[in-house]
Amino acid sequence: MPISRRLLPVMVLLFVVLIGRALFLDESLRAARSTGLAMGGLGLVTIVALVAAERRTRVLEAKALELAAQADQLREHDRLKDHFIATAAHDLKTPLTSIVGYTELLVDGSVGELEAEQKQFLQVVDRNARRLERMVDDLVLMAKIDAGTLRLDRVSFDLADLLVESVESALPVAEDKGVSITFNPLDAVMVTGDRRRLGQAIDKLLNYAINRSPTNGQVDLQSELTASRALISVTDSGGGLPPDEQSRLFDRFYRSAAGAAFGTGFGLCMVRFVAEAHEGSVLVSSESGVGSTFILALPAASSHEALANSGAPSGQ
Amino acid sequence: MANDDLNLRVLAADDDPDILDLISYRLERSGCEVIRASDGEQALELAISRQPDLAVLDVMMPKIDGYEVTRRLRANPDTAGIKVILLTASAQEPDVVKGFEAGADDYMTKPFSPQELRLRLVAVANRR
Repeated sequence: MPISRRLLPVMVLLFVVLIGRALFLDESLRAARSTGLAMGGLGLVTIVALVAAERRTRVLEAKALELAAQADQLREHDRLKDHFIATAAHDLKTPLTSIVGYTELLVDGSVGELEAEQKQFLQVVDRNARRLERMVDDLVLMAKIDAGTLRLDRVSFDLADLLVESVESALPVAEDKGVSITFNPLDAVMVTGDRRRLGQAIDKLLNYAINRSPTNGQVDLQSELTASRALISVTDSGGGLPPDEQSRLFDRFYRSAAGAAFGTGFGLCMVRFVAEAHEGSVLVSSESGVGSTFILALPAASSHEALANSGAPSGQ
Repeated sequence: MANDDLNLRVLAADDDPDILDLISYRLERSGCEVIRASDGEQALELAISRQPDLAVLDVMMPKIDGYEVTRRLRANPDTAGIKVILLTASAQEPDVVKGFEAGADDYMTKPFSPQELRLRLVAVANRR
């Protein structure tokens, strides 16, 4: 508090003057002397209070400096972490490029025809390299979300197209596990958002459902348009989730006991973040012994345009 | 597959020898002549001395990065006509924009498909 510091010499001066006057200058008036003494006493009390306040101020100032230094240090750690993740992602992509590229050369017969089984095994290599690639992308995405530097590249696009793409990219994984995917393709549904990020979120939900479903299980993708929202629901046949797990599912790094083999642990957290960044939401409902349904709700681009395109009834 | 005859001279620059081999292998099988560079400086020298039709440049290269190589190619009248495809590790919007601003004709994200690289190369080479 700079004010108390400036007041201090003034009060000291006032005190000295009052004491001096009371003792030496006006000895004829005892009353005046006692008044002076009283005022001096008051001044002394004030000074003591000011000194105490001054000390408290200094302690607080030191504390503030210390906190500011700690904040700087934390920011620096954060920056280093972001830098580390960006570098690690780049470094991981270099060997991945060779794995994916050389596998492709082998599979497409550039270096001689392969037996069916050889080809099949190489496709497993390819699929897993792609999976690793997705994990690296997730890591980068999560770091961006954390740092608050994720920017959405918003465009108006057809959600129905994106859903078809997601199903197509999930099919090889599903087939490998013997899981079938049912899907009701919609007519054009225009939404506004970051097509790539929303695609990643839908991929996550599908992959999660495939992972949870047993061999020969079933995953169902439904989409529906209401007056203001596009709803995408993914249902698995994974036997459902206990209530305590449902509430923690979207937390960062939460990994259910059943889904231990699923990704990096922040898949569903990422889905929630992407949904919320689009003014949407994601929720889960689960039936014990049957399966779970995840619903991703997104605002439609403009309800008129969307309704016109889909031919859905107006109202609701 | 696709052992066609593209008949292009391509400069390929990447500091990872396996990736450089991968690009060379795919493009040579498509009838390209491939000139190899393992950093940005070498890429610039070879672009000037060998005058390729097209350059496939990694973005993160030692000495001079892919963006800067592209800018310098564009700034020199002798190399300004060389088509450029950048190879980047991220498809983040700022990186892509940076590449086009530097004067690249196209970009591909690592890991990339060698077959797709060949297709893009043909598309870029046929522009104008």
